[in-house]
Amino acid sequence: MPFLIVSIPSFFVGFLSYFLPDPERGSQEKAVLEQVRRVDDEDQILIPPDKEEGASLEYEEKREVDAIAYDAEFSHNSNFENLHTQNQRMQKSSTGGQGSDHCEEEPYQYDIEKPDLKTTLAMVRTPTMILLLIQGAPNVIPFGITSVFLNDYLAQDKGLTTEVSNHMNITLEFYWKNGNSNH
Amino acid sequence: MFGAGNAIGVILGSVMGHYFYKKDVRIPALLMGSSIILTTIPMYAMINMKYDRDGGSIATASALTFLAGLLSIFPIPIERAILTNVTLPETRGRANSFLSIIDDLGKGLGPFLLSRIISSLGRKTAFNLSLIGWLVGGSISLGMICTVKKDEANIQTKIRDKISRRQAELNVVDVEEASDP
Repeated sequence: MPFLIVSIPSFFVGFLSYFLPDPERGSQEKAVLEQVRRVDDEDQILIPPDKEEGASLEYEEKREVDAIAYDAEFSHNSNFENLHTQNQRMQKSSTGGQGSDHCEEEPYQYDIEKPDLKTTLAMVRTPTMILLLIQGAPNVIPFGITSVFLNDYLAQDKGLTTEVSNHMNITLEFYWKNGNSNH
Repeated sequence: MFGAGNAIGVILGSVMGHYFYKKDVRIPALLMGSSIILTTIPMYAMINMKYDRDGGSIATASALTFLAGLLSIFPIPIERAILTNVTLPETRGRANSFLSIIDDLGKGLGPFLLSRIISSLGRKTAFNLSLIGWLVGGSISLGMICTVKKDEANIQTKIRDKISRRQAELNVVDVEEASDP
C-alpha cells in the first residue's frame, strides 16, 4: 500500500507538465544568437529618426559612420545573409505584402526540419556521439548491480543489520535517482 | 545531510560544468571522465572494508557512500549537456533516446551477466569486477576531450549553413515574385 501512495503525486506532476510551454528549439544556439545580434546591430544602424522630424544631417553622418563600423565587423563572415531583410520578407509574405519595414518584424526563429534517416545517421556518426553511446553501457553496469545486489551483500556477507544496509543502499539510490532517472 | 549533499552535488556539477564550458569546451569532458573513474575508489573501499557493528565503522561506510554518490552524480548533468552541444536541435530528442536505450540496456544486462559471476565467484568479486565498468566508461569519456571541440564547431557550422540556405531560398522567391507581372 505505501508503494501505491507514494506514486500518486507523480501522476499529478506529470499531468501538470502538459501545461508547460515548449521551449523554442534552437533559439540559444551560438550561430543563431550571432544572427540575432547582427540583426539588432543593423536595426540600430538603419532605423531612421521619426519621419516627422525629418532626416537631419547629423543623423546621415552618424548612419554613415555606423555603416562603416558594421561592415568592418561583419564583412569577414560572408556566409551570413541579411536576416533583417529575411524577416521583412517573411513578414510581408505573411501579411500579403503589407508588412512595415521595422515595426512589425517577427523575431528570428530557427527553422526546424523533420529529422530523417540521413540526419539520424549523421548524428550517430559524430565521434563524440559514438563515445557517449559507447561509454553509456559500461558506466551503467555498476549502477545496476549495486541497485540490485548491494543490500543483500551488506546484510549477508558483511553482517550489517538490515536497517543499516538499507540506509546505505537508499543513500546511493537517492543520489542516482535524483541525478538521473536513467540510473 | 544526504539530501543536502545530493542537492549540492547536482547543482555543483551543473554550475562547474557550465563554468568550465565557458573556459574550454573540453573541460566538462575531463570532469566527467575523471569523476567516473574516481568513483571507483570510495566504492571499492566500501565494498571491501571490514564492518564492525560499532558506530564508527558505519559512519565511515556512510561517508564513503556519500562521497561515491557525490562523485557519481557529477557526470550526469555534464553527459546530457555534451550530447546537446554535439547534435542539431532537431535530432536531440533522438540522441537522448539512443543514450537512454544504451543506459537501460547496461542497467538490465549488467545484473543479469554478473549474477552468473556471483553464483560462481561470490558477491564480493562480482562487485569488484563491476567497478571495471566505471574505469572503462570513464576512460572512454576522457576520449571525448579529443573530439568534442571539433564536433561542436561542426554543429555550429551546419546551423550557419542552414541559415544561409534558407536565405538563398528566400532570395529565389523574391526574384520569382519580381519577375511575375
